[in-house]
Amino acid sequence: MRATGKTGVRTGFWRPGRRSVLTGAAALALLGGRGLWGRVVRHRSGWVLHERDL
Amino acid sequence: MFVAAETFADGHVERARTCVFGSGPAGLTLAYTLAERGEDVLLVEAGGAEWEFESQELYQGRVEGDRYFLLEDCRLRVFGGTSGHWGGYCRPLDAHDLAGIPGHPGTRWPIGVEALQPYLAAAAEILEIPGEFPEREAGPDLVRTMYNYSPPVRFGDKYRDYCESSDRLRVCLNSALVGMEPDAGAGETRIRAAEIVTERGPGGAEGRVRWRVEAERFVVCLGGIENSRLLLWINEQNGRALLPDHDLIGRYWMEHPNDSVGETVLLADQAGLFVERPTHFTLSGSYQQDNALPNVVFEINEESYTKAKRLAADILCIAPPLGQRLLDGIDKKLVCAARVRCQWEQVPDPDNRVVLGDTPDRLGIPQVALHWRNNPSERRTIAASTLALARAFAEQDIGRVKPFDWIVDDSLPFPDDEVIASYHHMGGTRMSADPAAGVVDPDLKVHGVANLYVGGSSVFPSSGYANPTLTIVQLALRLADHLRPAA
Ligand SMILES: Cc1cc2nc3c(=O)[nH]c(=O)nc-3n(C[C@H](O)[C@H](O)[C@H](O)COP(=O)(O)OP(=O)(O)OC[C@H]3O[C@@H](n4cnc5c(N)ncnc54)[C@H](O)[C@@H]3O)c2cc1C
Repeated sequence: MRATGKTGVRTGFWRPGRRSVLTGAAALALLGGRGLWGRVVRHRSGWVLHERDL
Repeated sequence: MFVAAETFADGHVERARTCVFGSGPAGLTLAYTLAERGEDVLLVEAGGAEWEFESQELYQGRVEGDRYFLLEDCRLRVFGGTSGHWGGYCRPLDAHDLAGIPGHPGTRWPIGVEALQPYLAAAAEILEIPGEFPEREAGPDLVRTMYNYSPPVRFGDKYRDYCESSDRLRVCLNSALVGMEPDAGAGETRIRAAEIVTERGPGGAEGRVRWRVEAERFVVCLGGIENSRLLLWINEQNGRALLPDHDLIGRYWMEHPNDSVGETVLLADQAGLFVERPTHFTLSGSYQQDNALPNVVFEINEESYTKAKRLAADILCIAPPLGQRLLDGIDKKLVCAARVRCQWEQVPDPDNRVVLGDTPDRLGIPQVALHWRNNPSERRTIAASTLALARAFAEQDIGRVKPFDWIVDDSLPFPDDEVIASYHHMGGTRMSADPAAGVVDPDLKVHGVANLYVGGSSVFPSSGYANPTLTIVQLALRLADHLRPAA
């Protein structure tokens, strides 16, 4: 995965186990799920991206 | 034939083997099918041949809870019922819908998909749609699903000539069911007669006639709010002794909440998923089961070139390779922007219900009070499902999705710029094999009453995401088979 440096992409990612903009029931549903995200990340801009996009 | 009930004398008695109340998709499908099989049917419809303000105003009522449509606007009191308004979106329920919502045993239907499937082709013919709904796997958890679109069939227009010429089907317009008389005899309660009021002239300006129907069996098909309202009222008039569980009537009422949940950029459609516009996706049954999720559908509606450019420019800042790929694709017309809308299934809630209000309408029946809220658990349904769609789009390279902030942050309220609902009135007289858990049995007969049946989506124990009318017509055809099997 490549960071662009433009908007601090790396720090903005939401990863299982990391605090994110996803809160409450929604976060629990996903964090507690079966390691849902794999290579897909939710950027703090709100876009759900694949790591090869970056 | 149309019978001029306004010419009846007060106290007149009309007799039929089967009396159907309401001429919407449920009532007309049933009445027509029975009449075609040689049955003597009387169809009693509260509205007139054409829409009239004075008829429609009898649909006024009060809503408590979340913002909802005006009750006199979200259904039609006229010959043909609400099919005069409907959009024609058709889809059968999924097999797993009838198995109920994971974790909510009361939502399991007492019939399986094999009870509805035999009626799909005939229902599709009535609604003038193809009977196939081809789905495509679009990823491990994602399914490209499909609606068919009725022209839309207006039942009043479709069956008017038949009603005029048939001598087995008699139709009385401007005639409202207002009461029922049970038989005093021993054994299971039977309805002996129904009480009807026919208004002469708009709003009864030229008087009213009170008359009765005596029939072997009665079927109420008054729509997803009035079925509960009338059953509550009839039971009230009979000292709450006619129907065994008064408290259950009107409960577990459901809508299909529906709102925009995000925006998306769609990449070149290499898998051939986008064969129609709008395109629909859902999550696989096993994904819903594993994650204890109710059913949802996503509608992907293409937006403008300018929007596509703006979204691609947005992405260029955070993910330059993708941004560049999008911009190149837009110029070659391979990439476009779209809005993602979601329609989701509500977990039926006993507090979402139809009750009798305090104000009587001009026929003396209490206006309806509808208690309806989006349950907080629905935030989980929408968030988890939208994010699953977004993830599948990214993994399968279908596109990229940006869910709206209120989807991912449940401390934000539901948007309040529009009513989050779809005009689908379901539940209230739910079907169950257990009289303590449902108002009607699997044959749609009211528990505890030998000759009273209910047609329409009020009998749904759960709603899936599919718009209800195709299922309503399937159930009406199934009920016709129960009442009078084809020769
Ligand atoms: C704007 C809009 C868009 C819609 N779009 C879709 C769609 O795309 N797809 C879909 O599947 N569904 C759609 N629907 C829902 C669809 O219209 C209903 O599911 C369908 O009409 C229900 O059929 P019904 O026969 O049960 O009830 P109705 O069509 O409501 O018919 C009930 C009938 O009973 C009569 N009646 C009421 N009270 C009495 C009484 N006391 N005595 C005698 N008669 C009475 C009424 O006058 C009416 O004719 C839409 C609805 C609206 C309002």
